[in-house]
Amino acid sequence: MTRDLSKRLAYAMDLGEATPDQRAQVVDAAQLVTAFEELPDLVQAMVLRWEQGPTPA
Amino acid sequence: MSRSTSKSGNVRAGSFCTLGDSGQTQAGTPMRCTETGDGKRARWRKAAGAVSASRVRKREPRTPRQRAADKLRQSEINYLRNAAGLPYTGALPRNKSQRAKLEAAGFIDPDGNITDHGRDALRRRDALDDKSDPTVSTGQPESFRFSGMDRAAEVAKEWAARDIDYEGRRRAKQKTPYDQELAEIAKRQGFDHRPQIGTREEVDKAVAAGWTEVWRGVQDSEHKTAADINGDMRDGHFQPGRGMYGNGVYTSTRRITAETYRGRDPYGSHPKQGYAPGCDFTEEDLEGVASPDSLLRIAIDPAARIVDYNDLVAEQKDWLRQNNDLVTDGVERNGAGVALGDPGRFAAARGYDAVRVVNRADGSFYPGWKESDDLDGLVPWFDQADQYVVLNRTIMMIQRVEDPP
Repeated sequence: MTRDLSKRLAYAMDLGEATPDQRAQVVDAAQLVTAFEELPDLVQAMVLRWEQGPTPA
Repeated sequence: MSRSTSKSGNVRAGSFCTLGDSGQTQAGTPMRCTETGDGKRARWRKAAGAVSASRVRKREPRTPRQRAADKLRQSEINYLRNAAGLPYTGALPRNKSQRAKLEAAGFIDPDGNITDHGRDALRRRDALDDKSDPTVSTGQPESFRFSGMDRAAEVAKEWAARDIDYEGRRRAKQKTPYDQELAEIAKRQGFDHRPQIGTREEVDKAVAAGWTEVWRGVQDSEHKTAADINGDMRDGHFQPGRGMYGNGVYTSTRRITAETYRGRDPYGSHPKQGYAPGCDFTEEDLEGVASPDSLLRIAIDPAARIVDYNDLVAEQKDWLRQNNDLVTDGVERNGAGVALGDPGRFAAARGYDAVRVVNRADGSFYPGWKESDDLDGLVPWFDQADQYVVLNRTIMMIQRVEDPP
């Protein structure tokens, strides 16, 4: 993981109000990658959704 | 200050007197003494052979509220009242709802006596007042930690009742570079009080005495320069940020990680001084320009209540499951569920001072990163440095700006 990816994911999780399970999924997936595109498709889609729109609880 | 008495020895109605060392008020505080009118006080005084009102008062039972007030100065009571969200009056509250607020804040017990938590608050206030000049050495490092308590249920109840405008909150999050909800929890816990500021020698001494040395690097943002951000960390509003492992103030035990976060990365794969197991980059391996005062050297109080990230996540899941009725409206998460879904906010609400993240990716480069496909956690002989996500600012001793690290 790089500084920029770490910041991006942290911001997206906060903005999207990720659940604990979603957070765990993102944190685990991010450990061994250096770019957003290397994340699993499911995680990428989740992060993009958080970044794009509101997520009512 | 004098005590006026009549010839018979009775205290005159309307006169002022000073109560002495009985612990009833601070010496020198004027207190109006009146005759009881029934002669009871005079009889007690006579029986005791006493002439001072304080000795008479010793015989009178004091209510818990009076006993608690006896031991506190007006300014101290006001400080606790303010911290509990009550207006200043200089007196401990008589009515139940206000007393309940002080009790809920943990400052007094049900008997009206000041608690350790309350004393902690006052001690810290006094200490910070005395320590206005950071160049004055205080000798051995001393803990000024403001201890929190488990307020998760209290926070959940309050947030669950809030009518949350999700779109508005989202817009607010986009505008603010810090987590306002965590800041609110921190304020409630007293975690937003100022940290200690130490000279280089004081921080050295603290580290030698067992405090944990950590580093924090920041860059200029849209809103503030790095120096402003770090200035606020020392002596401004507490504004915890966001992070992968929960929101809070991110620090690392490794200086190079902090250097990365202030915009300086190693330009080579291996340290100039040579590559050996565990051998880290140094200042001469870094490239990039850092802003002034963008790196903090911090010592973390060994008395801090710290939870490991893995334990915290397990605890959070258990707590949310057990308190399902508080954090959902039956089907979906309510405001409390959303707020406490972040590990940092949850930890702060539970009264933890910091979260320790062990051997997990921290976003920086380690020696050998160019050769390694998986640069984090898998670089031979080099584990990820521990990260401390600080939630309670009072556990920190920050090296002063005049002594750059």
